[in-house]
Amino acid sequence: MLEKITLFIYKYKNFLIFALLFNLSLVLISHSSNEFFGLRTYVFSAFAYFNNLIVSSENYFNLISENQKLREINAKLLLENTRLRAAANNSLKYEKLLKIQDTSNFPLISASILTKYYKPYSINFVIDKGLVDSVAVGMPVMNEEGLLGIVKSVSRNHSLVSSIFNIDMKITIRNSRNNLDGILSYDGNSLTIINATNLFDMQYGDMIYTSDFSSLFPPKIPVGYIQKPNNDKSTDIRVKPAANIYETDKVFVIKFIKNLYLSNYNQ
Amino acid sequence: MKNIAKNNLHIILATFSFFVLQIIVSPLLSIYNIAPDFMLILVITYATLNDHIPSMLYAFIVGIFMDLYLSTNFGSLTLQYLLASFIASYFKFNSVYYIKQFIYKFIFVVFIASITSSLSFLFLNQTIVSYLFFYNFINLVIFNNLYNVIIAFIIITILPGKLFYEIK
Repeated sequence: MLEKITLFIYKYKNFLIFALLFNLSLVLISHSSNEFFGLRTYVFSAFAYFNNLIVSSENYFNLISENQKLREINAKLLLENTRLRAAANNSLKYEKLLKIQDTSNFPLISASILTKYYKPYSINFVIDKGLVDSVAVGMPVMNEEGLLGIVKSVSRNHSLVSSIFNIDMKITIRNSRNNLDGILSYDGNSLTIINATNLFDMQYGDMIYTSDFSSLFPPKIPVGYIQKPNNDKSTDIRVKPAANIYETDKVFVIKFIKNLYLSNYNQ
Repeated sequence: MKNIAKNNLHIILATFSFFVLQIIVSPLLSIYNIAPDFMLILVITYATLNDHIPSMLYAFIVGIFMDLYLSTNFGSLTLQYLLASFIASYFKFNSVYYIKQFIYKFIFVVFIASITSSLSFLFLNQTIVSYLFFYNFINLVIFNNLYNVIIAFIIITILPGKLFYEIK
């Protein structure tokens, strides 16, 4: 009997080891929310140092074009600022009355992206700011164009950011034209407002920003623009992201944690 | 420990080199969210040059390492690499020299193995019930793996024939 078992194991050892490793992988997936004693933070942090060396040398050579680009953005913002100042004066008194939280009051932490990691259903990136710069889990990350993601994990000098292009992330958004709220998610292909019935009046080009009801983000951070409204055939609305994550290398962390429970939970 | 490191020095060096390619070059080569997976190519190549058990163990270790690095769902890359390795280890090449000789067979192996690994991830995900499944299959599985195949072809063409991965 023992001989038969030994023979069986010897004959099918490849499959047995495959089955063992396969099941181990499934166990790991089922515990994917664990931090594994901080090991994940330690590993991404260790390699972030290595990445930092390469990115900083690359940045040195890109400084001229970077400065040119920044001057252009500065000029555009100056014009926009003048126009918005007049509008802000009018809206300020109403905001005070309604006690609406102003996103622009939150302090920003400037950071550089060290590496991006693309997978079909998620895009993550590592930034060069961490605990010593007061970055914490749950803080939103954006650039000058709009929302990019949320800090998922923090080490001493680096942070791992989960972008809005992540199938696990659901964002409560609001249409700037008519204040309609909806849920935005990533389907592996594009950002989509899911389950939008015909009552949802979303038109091409409408600006979408984070809603007051969002449990993750502060309100009024631009997220994107309506690219394909819903129709009789489809209840999903496609949204073009405001920020181009593929070309972004400089970001800002908003020093604000909307969901303290989530923050504590993740830590 | 010292002997293990010494005997597998070329594997450790190759893993480190491909890891550097993965974290630095891969984002630069990305077309939207389709980026080449250098580590997957390495795992498949290793599997075609070695036996089942070392290949699977190597894929498992590399998968865990990559999962620890940046993956959203811990364990998903481990599973993908393991499946790719299991499929690829059925196709045997003696050395990189033979891979170069039968490059189209190797390309076919890379395509089949990477398709299997991507499909496993697609099946594990919620999009299986979505109407977007077919769309995602074409875009993310087929296109992504075609990209991997092109990169694998370039790497194998560049690699010197007999220097690395010779089976003793």
